[in-house]
Amino acid sequence: MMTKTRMAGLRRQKPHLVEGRTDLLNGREEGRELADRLLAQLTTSEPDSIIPVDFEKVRFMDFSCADELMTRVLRRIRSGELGTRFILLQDLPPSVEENLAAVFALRDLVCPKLTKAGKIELLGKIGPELAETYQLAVRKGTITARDVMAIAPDVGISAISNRLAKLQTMGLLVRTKEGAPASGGRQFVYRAVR
Amino acid sequence: MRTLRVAVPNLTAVTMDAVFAEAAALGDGPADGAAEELRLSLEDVRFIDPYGLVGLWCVLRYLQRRHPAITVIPPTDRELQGYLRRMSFAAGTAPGAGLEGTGGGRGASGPSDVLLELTPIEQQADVEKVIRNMLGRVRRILESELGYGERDVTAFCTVLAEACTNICDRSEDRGVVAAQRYTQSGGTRYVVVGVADLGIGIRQSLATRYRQAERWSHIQAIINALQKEYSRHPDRGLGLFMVSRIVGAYRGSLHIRSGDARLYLRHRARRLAASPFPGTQLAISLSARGTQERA
Repeated sequence: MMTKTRMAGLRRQKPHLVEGRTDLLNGREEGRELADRLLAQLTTSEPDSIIPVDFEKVRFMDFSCADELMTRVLRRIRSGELGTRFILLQDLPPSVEENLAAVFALRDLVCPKLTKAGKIELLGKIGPELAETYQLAVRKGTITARDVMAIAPDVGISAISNRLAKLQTMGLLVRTKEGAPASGGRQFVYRAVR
Repeated sequence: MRTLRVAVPNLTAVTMDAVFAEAAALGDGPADGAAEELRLSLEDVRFIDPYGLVGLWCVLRYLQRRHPAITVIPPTDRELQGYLRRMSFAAGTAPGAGLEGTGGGRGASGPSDVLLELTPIEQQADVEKVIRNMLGRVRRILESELGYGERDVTAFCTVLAEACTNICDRSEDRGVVAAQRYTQSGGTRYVVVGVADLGIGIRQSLATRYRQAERWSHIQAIINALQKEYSRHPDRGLGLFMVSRIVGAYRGSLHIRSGDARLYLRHRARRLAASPFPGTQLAISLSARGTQERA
């Protein structure tokens, strides 16, 4: 029996279309402009929102532009400054995905992406345990530390709690409920950003 | 009339420093030579790669500071004359320097290994033009002749974009870029890119953020510029770092010249002596598809 103390469902909002002066995005200045536009939409959106960031109109984005756009936005999300507002990448051309992956690897960032097949995957730098835990949350919708224990029976509860907290810090999970399980104590419920 | 006769037969990253040294010596000469007409003779030159080409552009601009009128005597080698035409050398160095004569040589209509003519980089929009060119006509060449796939083309464009963006962001000058593909006698194919400016150089660029940079040697400044997040702007500095990683992944080489130092990276770093010369000059080579590990 779980006692609900707070609810936070995540709703996907209208996609944010990444659109530059042309279909080739290059340089830091253009990246800053794109980041400012995306941040403006994020900050004015309702709490508990996921904004799909759509790269459909982009043919190529160079490394500097990708760095300026995504590093600025993801760091703001990770800092908690934007509350429960997140992003999801979609319609990534291979060349754009390549440079975003390079940026994420160098900046220790990670972001969920929606594949053409409709699956949620992670793009960026993340360890296998964290990725596995995130995918569990994607499959189940919400998870608790006990759910994670089912896929990692040899890992202690405090390590699993740390894993969940780390995923929350990375902007991949959001804590939605605090409950009291029948066995006593406190238990957090996490929802996947997807 | 003074004449600077380029005696080096092959103008590449290995040899070009001798020309920079001669230009620097001429540029530092007595003031009474100022405003005198100058002839830059390429008659003895037999081969010029993209680095040599962008290097010559730097030499001509440098000499124009003291010699507003420069006549370039073309190479006697007719193939090389044709190559200079295909690379738009005369247009790229005008109006300060005029290439004497127009006849002979294989022209623009002949078969060409040119990927990118001598192209000016003055603003970010010029970088976009270069990338658009790469993703259009050149992409097909890269795919068919170097076996490049989408990922490789992206890496190549990233190298070009980052190297050219450095001109706009850091040189406080304008610059040029050129690229050409080659086939070695054994059939190995590769691309050479030359990127150059006559700006403040790497050490002075870093000194705008790191006060201690003024005490660094030029070679130390180059080495620092290759490190992650070592930049004149906070939280940047990934440009040359990315270029060097991609070059390494494609079994290529990276040659950086700035101030009085040169650094040659191929498997390992080699520090080379250089003559003092302004700006920053890069030679980048990337091999045909082989190493697939992305930086």
